[in-house]
Amino acid sequence: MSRRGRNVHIRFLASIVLFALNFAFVGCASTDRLPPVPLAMASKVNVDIPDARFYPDTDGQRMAALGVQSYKRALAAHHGKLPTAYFLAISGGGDDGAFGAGLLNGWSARGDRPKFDLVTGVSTGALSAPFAYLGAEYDAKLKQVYTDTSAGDIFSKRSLIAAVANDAMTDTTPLRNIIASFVDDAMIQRIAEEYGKGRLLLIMTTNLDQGRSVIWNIGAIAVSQFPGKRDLIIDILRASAAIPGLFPPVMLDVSIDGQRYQEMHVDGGAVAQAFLYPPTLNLKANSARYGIQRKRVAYIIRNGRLYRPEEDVKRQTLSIATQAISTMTATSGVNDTYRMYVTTKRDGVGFNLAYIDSDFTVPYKGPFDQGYMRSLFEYGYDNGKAGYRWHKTPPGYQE
Amino acid sequence: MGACLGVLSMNAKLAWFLLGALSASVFWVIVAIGLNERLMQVFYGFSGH
Repeated sequence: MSRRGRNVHIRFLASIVLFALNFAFVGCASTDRLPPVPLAMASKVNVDIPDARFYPDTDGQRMAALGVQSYKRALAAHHGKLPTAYFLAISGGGDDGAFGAGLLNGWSARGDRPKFDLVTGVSTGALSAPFAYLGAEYDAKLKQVYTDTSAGDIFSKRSLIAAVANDAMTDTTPLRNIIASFVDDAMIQRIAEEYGKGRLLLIMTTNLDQGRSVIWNIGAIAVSQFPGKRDLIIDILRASAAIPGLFPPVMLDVSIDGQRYQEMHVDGGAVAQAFLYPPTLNLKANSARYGIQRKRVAYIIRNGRLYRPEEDVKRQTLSIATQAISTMTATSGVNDTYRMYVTTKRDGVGFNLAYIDSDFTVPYKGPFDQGYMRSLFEYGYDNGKAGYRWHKTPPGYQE
Repeated sequence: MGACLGVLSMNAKLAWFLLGALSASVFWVIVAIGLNERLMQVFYGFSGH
């Protein structure tokens, strides 16, 4: 072969290698980000919307003030003594969110589901929460989300190289499209109306840079004149359900004194699987201070089993990691019920807990398997319609 | 082996090289797909499953 021929071959090979490298690392470009907000400056972040969000660990007083404002709005809307206030917390749990969706639908069908004054959501619970907040008129859409979707409607897989070089194993554009399809202007308008009546819809995400949770007041965002409020609500719901490593985080642009920063938000379940209100908010003391006399009852839907099912764990790194993470999350869910129990006991709030019990025996086939979710929805529905026997204490607690 | 390769033309060597590279690529693609699935299971553990 001539020297010229060899050069052609070398150039051909080099082109192939360069093409492959370019293809392999094409995902790297999207991982650039602005600097995170330093923790010391967190309170200075301007989000353009009053009362849009709270840090549970430091904003107890601000949340107390929000509670008082809500009480006054409810009083003005009700014209008279207020009836019992009902709280609802919907937990994370991925596709197990079908349980809560079924339970709420069945509860509506039974006819005694209360209108909740406070609805909170984490992760999959964040996706259910707007429907639960707006009541039975949105039950059909809630059912549709959990029974007509499958894995392909939630995410598309990335190649291993793209996943490692990028920010998650999957791309959740399909999930964003689903959220955008139900968070329309009509829903935002309805949320704003209910917020004006003193009702609250709170969603939790995790600020991963700061390693702490953030509670978003969706009603305040809905009622605001902020031009990007719909996109912000969609981003918050998507962030709350962004399982770390599996789903991409949501990057939120913020500014402090004209300096631009970016916050990385992931699944609220990284901190808590469910919440009612932060322990830093003392409802009892606050009520006494402002002369608020109102009976309060809380319902907590744990979208999951109390404990991870028994498993013959292979003696392999990834199997051990999988089962350990799953055990930590399931146990975190139990621990959260104790946190909520302590705060409700302190504040004189009724405690009611629902979870997937051992009588649900349909085998799990993988993430967002439609057959599994439909079975779980039916299980929740049947329980709700029959009148769920709510647990009055956290699991394993002896009074 | 070296002697055998020595008598092959440059085109044949290139063909063998490409065949080897293709086989290795197929192998690593299969490994990557399997690893991808396992890592997805690991991360999905955060949902409690």
